[in-house]
Amino acid sequence: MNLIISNASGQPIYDQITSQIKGLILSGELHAGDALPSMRALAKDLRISVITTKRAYEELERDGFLVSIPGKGSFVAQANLELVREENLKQIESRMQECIALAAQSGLSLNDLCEILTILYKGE
Amino acid sequence: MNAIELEHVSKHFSTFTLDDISFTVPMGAVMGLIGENGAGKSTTLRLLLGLARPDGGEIRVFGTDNPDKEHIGVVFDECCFPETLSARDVGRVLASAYKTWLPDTYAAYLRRFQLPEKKKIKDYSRGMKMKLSIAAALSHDSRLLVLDEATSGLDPVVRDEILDIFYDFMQDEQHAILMSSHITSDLERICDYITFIHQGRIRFSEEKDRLLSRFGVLRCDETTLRALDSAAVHGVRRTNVSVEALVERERVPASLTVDPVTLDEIMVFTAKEA
Amino acid sequence: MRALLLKDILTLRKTLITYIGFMVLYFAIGLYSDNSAFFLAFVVLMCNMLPMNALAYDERFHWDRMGLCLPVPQHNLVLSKYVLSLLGFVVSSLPLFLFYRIAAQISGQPFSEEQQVILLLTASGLILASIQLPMLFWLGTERGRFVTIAIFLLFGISVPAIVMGLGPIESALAWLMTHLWVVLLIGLALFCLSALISIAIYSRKEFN
Repeated sequence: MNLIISNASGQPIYDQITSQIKGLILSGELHAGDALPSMRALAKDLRISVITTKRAYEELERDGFLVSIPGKGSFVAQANLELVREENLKQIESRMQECIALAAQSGLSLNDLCEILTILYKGE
Repeated sequence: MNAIELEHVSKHFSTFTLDDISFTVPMGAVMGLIGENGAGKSTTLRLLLGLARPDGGEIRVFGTDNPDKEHIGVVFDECCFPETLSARDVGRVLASAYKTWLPDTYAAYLRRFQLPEKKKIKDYSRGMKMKLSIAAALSHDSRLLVLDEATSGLDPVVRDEILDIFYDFMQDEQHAILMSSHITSDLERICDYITFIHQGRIRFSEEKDRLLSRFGVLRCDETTLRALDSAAVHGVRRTNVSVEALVERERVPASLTVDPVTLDEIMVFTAKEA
Repeated sequence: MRALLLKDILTLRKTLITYIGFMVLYFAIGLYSDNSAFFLAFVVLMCNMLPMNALAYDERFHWDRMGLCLPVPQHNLVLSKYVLSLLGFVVSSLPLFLFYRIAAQISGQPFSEEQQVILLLTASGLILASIQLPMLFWLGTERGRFVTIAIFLLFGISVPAIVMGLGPIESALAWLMTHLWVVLLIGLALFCLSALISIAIYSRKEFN
């Protein structure tokens, strides 16, 4: 597992952890049942506070990506396809928002955007 | 259970008063006590360790006002062993002082820190003395580690080694660390909570992450600053060409760019405000 | 207690070796010149210097902070200095006393002058320590040392003057000189009282 934490990004560290672990699960790099490092070990490896990793894990657990078994550790939850799809959809939406904002700045119309998307989707 | 509880602790000196100090360090957590020189950090720790008596308030360690010292490891800003002793002598003395002394652990730390056993402490460098103190503090059944300015003046390589040791120590949920420092350094990375003491009073005591996300630095001009809610501004630094302010993110308009803040900056700004 | 004594002995290792060297030297001189008073005075001085040296090291390296964080009772930090002092007296005076006792036995004398001197000096050493140690705990080694010296100068001048003036005291002293065991007991009693005073002083202290 590879996590990259940036102190300069302004994004809270726990948020960086949750989004990156979600990413790893969605991309299939982490599989259901895979053990994650303990909160305290992860804090050591990332050189951050335990409270931060704890918060990240709690959030992941709440969102159904992780299961914590007391005394055993945290594991990647059984893939919930609906959940995965929903999460992906959320990400697509947010990135499209960025595209729309950029398009508006450059004076591109909806048609122009659709055209670009179609070309890209078909892989030229 | 809480490792440390301070409730309304006060102590009066002729030139300085430590006033109404309250904070809690839960088991499994690391608390950083920050503030400039003479702010009252060391006095707070002395009271906690029983080297001085408070005039008022309550101090509890492991839930009692008379904790078992077998489980408290202390590292002071100076090595407190007579410097005519060697590391081996220190081991001998502490082995007969602590019932829970772990000779093998001590020997392993000496090796890990590359501390020569037979050399007199007075021939050690500052970094080596500090490492010896840490080795001693961790070679009995310590569950609470108290460090007073222990890491100031150490080079980054040594600090990194020590940070590693602290992380190893904190792998156990039943352990806790309280460390004071007047310089915020890479060591504060491990801190879960920060208590900031200024002129004998606590300015804030809260989760480090929350603190860092609550505040930010706004770089702007006088007009913009004056337009802000005065409750949002926690300190201002003016130069001929710029104005910088420590602000609460939630209380300034979203249109303004607020940069992330460091603990150092929070300390400097807050000290200026008072 | 063992840890604290071990710490003092290890800290004073070099000083101890020097002292023992001097002791052997003075003892040899005493034997040859047949006058051991000088040697004995040195022993008494040395035994008083031991706890003072130990305390000076403690002060210099802020040992009290560390000591108070160890799982040992606070009063042991004080008592260990008394034990150190007592050990000094026992280690130096006892073999010497036995030496002269046996020597006297062989020569058929019941009580030699040397034994008297040893008892007297040990007792006065204990009294000196009893006054000095609380001063050191109270004022620190720097000022405590000066105050102790001042007290002794005062005593050195005033006591003989009083003795000269008052006959009955003179006779009492003469009695004491023939019953030196009593003087030794008084010394020990003062020593214990002094320890209690030092513990009280120490428990009121605060450390930076």
